[in-house]
Amino acid sequence: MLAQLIANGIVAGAEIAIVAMSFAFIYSATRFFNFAHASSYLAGAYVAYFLVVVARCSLAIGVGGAVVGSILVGLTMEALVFRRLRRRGASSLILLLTSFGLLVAFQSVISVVFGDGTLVLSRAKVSEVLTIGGARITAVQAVIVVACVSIGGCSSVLFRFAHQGRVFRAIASDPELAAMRGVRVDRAILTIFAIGSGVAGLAGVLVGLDTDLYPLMGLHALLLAMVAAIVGGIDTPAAAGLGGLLIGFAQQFGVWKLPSAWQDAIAFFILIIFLLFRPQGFFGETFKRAS
Amino acid sequence: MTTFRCEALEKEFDGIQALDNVSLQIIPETITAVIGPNGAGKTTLLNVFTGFMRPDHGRCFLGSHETTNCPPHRIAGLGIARTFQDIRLVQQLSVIENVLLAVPRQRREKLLPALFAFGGEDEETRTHDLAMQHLRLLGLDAKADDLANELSYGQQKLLTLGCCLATEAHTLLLDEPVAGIHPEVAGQILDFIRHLKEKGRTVLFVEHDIGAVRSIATTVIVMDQGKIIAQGPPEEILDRPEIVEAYLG
Amino acid sequence: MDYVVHILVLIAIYSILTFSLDLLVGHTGILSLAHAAFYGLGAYTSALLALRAGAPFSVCIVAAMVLAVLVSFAVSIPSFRLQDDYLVLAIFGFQMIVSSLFTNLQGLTGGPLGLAGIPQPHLLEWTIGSHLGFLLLTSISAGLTFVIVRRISGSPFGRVLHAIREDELLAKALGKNTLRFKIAAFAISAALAALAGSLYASYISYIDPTAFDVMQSVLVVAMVIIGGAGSVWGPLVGAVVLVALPEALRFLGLPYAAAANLRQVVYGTLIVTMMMARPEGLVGRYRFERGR
Repeated sequence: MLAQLIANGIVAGAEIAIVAMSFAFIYSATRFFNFAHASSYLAGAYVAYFLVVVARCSLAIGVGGAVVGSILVGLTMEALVFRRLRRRGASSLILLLTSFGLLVAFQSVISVVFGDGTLVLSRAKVSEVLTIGGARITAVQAVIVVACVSIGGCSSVLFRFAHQGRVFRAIASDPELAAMRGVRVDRAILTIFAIGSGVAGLAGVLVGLDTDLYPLMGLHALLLAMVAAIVGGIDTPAAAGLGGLLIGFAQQFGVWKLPSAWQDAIAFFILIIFLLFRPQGFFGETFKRAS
Repeated sequence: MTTFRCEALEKEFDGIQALDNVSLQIIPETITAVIGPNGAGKTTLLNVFTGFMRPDHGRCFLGSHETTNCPPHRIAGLGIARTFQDIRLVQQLSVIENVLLAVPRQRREKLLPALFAFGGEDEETRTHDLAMQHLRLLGLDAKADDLANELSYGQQKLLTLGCCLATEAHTLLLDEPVAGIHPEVAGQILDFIRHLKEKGRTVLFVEHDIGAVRSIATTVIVMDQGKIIAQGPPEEILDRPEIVEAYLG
Repeated sequence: MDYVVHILVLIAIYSILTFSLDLLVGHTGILSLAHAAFYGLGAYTSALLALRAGAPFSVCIVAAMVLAVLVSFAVSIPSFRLQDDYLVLAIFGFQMIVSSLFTNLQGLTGGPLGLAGIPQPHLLEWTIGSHLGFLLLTSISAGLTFVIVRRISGSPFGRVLHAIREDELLAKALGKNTLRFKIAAFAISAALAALAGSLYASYISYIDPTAFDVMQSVLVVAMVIIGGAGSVWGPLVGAVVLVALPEALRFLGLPYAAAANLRQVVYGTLIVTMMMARPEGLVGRYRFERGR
């Protein structure tokens, strides 16, 4: 029983963590709460659905297409909308509001095309149940956990050691200074959007394989990811990822004791507590000092 | 007469000691100039005095009342007004509205009177006349209804002084009042500061312009790397070779 | 004809929401994504008092507004010292929690099924039952809201709000306790949103949580921005455009669900277009884009 609870917590946490890491990654360079990030997640899930269920392609093509689609969505939003607003000196509030508009429009288009109801993407292969240490998880859930750990590990290494990581950190701490030092800020931000959106899209298709698809799943996942990023620390993706694990666990353990409908209220309550008392998150300052 | 003083102020940020054991007293009805190279801690001093920053150690007093941890609006309410290094005005309001904003104790600044008090026009006319008086003193009355961002740089600086005056503060802390100003308008500003002192106000200003300091200051305080390195009348301080050296070196 | 009156009633109710939200967004510079939460609090309070306690309409309205003010204090007092983005998030979190409460406190609110059979309002001698009657009631309320916001914005109190919007640090340096001003503005806007909620509940006579969720909040924000934040008539223009336009879509003969989603596509696109092309809105002057 306890083992199952822990396993559920890890899986739920991993699902949130992947999106939280992608969100925090983009936030670190652009410094606004990008609600449109949910569109990349949605794009991932629904492109995969279209390819696999409608066009009857293989799962591999479905996942590949999902990532490509989500990257395209993210890049388009940055290139056509956010970059222009940024050049005009738009405040982070304007960007926040605009990103909401983009999300609402995109989500509604998905609703129009695919309908409001839930769609099923999962295949028999991925629903195969594995038993690990007394707990049962499905194959795709295992993949989610592995993906989460890999992404977390890669981003830590990237940030700390690779040259590109240093570039990203420079942009995060002072974009103007970085530009003066010759960093091609706009191009770097495009790269950041591509990576972040691709990861979000991957999360979307993986979760879609695990549970059902519905148009609001993007916003729902993003909200939890934002809470996780604040709780863990929005400065580095790794901290946000750890926040995701915490929120996932909190929700699963909370649901054990309270009716499941209260899951989200719990998460948002935690969000407000952190905003008021520890806005840098659990790991925010620690990570900052280390780098 | 309430005297503003501070004891042993310490403030560190970004690894720099911005204030290092600073103690001073502002004598009422004088004009004190604070000079020193960039990064000496002058603006930090103003920020701590006016509650925009908290010192790591040390205390500030207005008379016997401790102001160290008071929020900025409380300190302003105690009669200490300030200007900022970058001109701060409500750009989208008119010149006279900026001054009206500064006038204290307006009944209809509270929500319920704002909604329900009728016949309060008397007070508002009086306030308006008072604001116009202030503007006349600054030579800005003709521009009363122009938007603040339509004024020239020098006129905007004058306006910020006018707002300080309108707060009825007894002590004014000015951050670089003549920086970047055409000499003619600078002269106007300096005259205005002199006039303030004659009206019984106390002024402390931060400046780089030694000419300005020489022309109006009664006391000069020299800061460097967060410490006060000299204090005294301008004739005595400004001709000392080590001060000139610290400044230009 | 009845249909036109119905649209006008909706416009009137939404105007109450937009004018009151504009007090926060356009005049004080606070982006609140929780206006629908107060709208809902007003609606549920009013409905429950009428249904369960048989309270007269005037009592329902007053109770709804008082509750909204009290709840607004519970939010603003702890969180209004937060800056910009974080404040928006905290207010947003509050909206999500309230939505969750509407859906989950089934014993009280009827859960996802909502509350039905909300009685018609009796005011003094009259029972308001017809669409025209409601049009009169809601228009008067909207007019009252307009007058209140206008009076506030033209007063010295309003001048301080505008200063807070432009440069809060300066306002503090001039001796203004900006926290108090922001809390007061939030309370007024919450009370008026609750008024709109009461009117809505007794007009439609049925309420459920989906009418008061975060999307509804975003819609009202969109109306304010599109009309022109901080302007005299902007909130009305925004309400008219965003209520009337989607109704026009209905005449294209689409099935109901698709129409609702197309409406959202329009809202979203309008927000993005306005922000990019004309942030001051259709009739506004103030560009809601000061980054401090």
